[in-house]
Amino acid sequence: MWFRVNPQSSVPIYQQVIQGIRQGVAQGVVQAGDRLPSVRDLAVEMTLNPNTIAKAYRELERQRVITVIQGRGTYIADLESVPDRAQRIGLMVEAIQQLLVEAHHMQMTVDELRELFHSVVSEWERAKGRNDQ
Amino acid sequence: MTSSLVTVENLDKTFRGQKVLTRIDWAIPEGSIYGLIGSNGSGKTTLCRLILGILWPDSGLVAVGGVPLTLESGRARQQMYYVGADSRLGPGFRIAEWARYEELMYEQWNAARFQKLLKAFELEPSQRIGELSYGTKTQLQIALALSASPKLLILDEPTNGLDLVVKRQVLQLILDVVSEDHTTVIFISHLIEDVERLCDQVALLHRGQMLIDGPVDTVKKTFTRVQGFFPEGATPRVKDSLREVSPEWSGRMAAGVARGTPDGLVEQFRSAGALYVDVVDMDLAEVVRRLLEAEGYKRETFHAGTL
Amino acid sequence: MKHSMRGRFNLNGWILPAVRYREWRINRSWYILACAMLVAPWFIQLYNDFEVGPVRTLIIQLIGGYGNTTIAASTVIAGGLGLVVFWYDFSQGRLAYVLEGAVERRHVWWAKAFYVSATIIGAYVLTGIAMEGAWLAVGQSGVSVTIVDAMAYLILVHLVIAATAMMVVSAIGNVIYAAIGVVVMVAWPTLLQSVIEMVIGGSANRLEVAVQNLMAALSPASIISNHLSLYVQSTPKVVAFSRFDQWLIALWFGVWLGAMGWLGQRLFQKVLWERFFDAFYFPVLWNGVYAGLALITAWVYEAVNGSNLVGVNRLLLLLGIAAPMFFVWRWVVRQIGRRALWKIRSGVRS
Repeated sequence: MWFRVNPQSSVPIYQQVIQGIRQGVAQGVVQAGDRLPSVRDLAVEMTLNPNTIAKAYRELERQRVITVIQGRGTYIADLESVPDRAQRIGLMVEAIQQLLVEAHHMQMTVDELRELFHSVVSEWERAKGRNDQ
Repeated sequence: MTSSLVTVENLDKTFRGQKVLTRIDWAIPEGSIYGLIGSNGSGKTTLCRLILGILWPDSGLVAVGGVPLTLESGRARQQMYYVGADSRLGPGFRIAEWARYEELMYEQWNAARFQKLLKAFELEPSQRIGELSYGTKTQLQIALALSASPKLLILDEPTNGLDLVVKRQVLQLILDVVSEDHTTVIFISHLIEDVERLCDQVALLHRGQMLIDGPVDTVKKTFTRVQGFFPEGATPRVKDSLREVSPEWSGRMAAGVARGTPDGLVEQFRSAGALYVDVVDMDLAEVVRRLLEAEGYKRETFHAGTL
Repeated sequence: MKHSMRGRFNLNGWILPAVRYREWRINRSWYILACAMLVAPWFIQLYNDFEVGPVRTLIIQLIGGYGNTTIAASTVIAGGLGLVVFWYDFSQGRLAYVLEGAVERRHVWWAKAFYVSATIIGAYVLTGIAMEGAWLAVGQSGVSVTIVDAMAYLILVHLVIAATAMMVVSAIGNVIYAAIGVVVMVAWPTLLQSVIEMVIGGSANRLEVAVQNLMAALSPASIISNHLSLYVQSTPKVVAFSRFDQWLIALWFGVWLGAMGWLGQRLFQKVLWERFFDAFYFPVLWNGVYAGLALITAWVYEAVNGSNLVGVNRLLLLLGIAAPMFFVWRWVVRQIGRRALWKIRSGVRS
């Protein structure tokens, strides 16, 4: 799998699986219509509890990241308008504020932070470009 | 919520006057992989043997599939398979002979699966069991256990003596069968990382008492770490107002551990003058360490990750 | 839940094919060996009687004087077989852990009983057929009823001894204690006889003769040595079985056999699993050890002090010394038991 799970992290494993798959979609490692491994196959491959994988898949389906077609498998869903967009933008704002606090304690200026942001974004896009080819 | 496959109620067990298990209440939900952890001599294996019905409790009740165990409980054991360090394999038997015995014994024996597992573990049916290494014997036991298609699989430190590559393979084969059959599993291990990876439920035994049990994510929330940033550092005034918490200081950060809800501790940090306060979840090893420390368990060699 | 419990998985039955398969596989050498040892002297005897071929001398030289001690030996073989099928299974077959499987103790006990019986019955049926054949070959048909009688008695008595051993070993884990236990159980009529003899004195009166005859009839060991040993030393024609009320004796041993079978299985079912690693499965049996030690102590004391008491007085003195010694030995053994050395053996992981 393209992502790793750290069982010793304080983040629950099913959330790490959700995060990993969402990240893969965002980076273009998998694209709409791609088939994901079954719960059993993913559990075996990553040596994780099948119930945990099933829980992650249920949550991903609820978030409309994946669609489960009975008897055929699990697929990456088409990107569509996200229902709770406004609320999730709110969460992003909080995350950015957290970054600003962190930067302050590291004695970074806002410009330095902005520069860092740009370099991370371009690194990301370069990686995504590779995946798209 | 699914129903319980195994129910243990108010269980007591004594070995020659010595209390081994005290008032154990435990329920194992059907389809779960239940991690059972505890230090040596905490009563894990005894608890499993009580569930198997080969040990009998002094008082209390064990029920499997809703049926209480009695003196002779072979019928219940049709659905249970125990893999432990003291294996039942006869050293004089060849692998094929022992497999024949278990095939005659288990109604749900899956011969095709056994052949597949033998191949995966590179075992020859003509090999004599007494000539196998400890690790190979463990693999054979797991192959037999998975082929018996039990409803409850009890794995007592199943990866002891296996190297890392084989251990991963063994765990993967177990997971494959468990997801196919929806087997309920009791997974005893002193490797907390394995428990975190494989189990959705976890219980901690200590000196014959169940300190905690339930879903891993719930157990992890038993304790939370509260961290506060104090701009002026550990001044006497701050120290005084955090007297009850006795936090650990690292620079200007103070960290305390809360059992249950962290709200009270957060409030204390705030009123002591913390600039910002973070609530951080703990990993399972840390939770276990805290629980054991609360019971007065301390060892020099103790470190997170193993028991 | 798919759970049909039919056919070979029917746990309600007495004999579970899986258990029987394993029993044969683990103990087959013992069963075959015991059967061969029971049969061998009779066949040597046949060789002797009929001078079959030149190998005879060689075989007799090889086996030596075995034939003369056959009766004592066969009793030991039957008792030993009952012991060994448990002892070997616990030590080499990991029997305690085998009980973790989908079997019940009842099945384990009866699988052993099945093969022990088959060994004894098989051995004497084989012997009987060979003897009948040999006698018929030389044209003597009149002995066949005697042979059938003798073999039937041998089967019954050896089953009694083997079942007694299986009962004892279902309660005692230490093979030496178990062997002593079997001897006591098999020889109790003889032991009782010597006690009675001690009480009524050495005079050969009518009462003593009656007691002696009764005890001889009750004891499986003396039944064989008194009335069947002649078989080995001579031809069947010599044996006069009609002296005994055959049916009454058969009934007595039948009852004994049934009681041992039932009791053995019950005991084996009631043992706490963790006790399988101890010398005695039931702690109360230690009292037997204390009693034995106390009696030996008292007997030695009497012998050394040359007591000239006779009859009841002598018995009372013996018991008078043994009674306090019981508690002394109990204290001593328990003190030893408290030491750590002893506890290493209790290999129950918790």
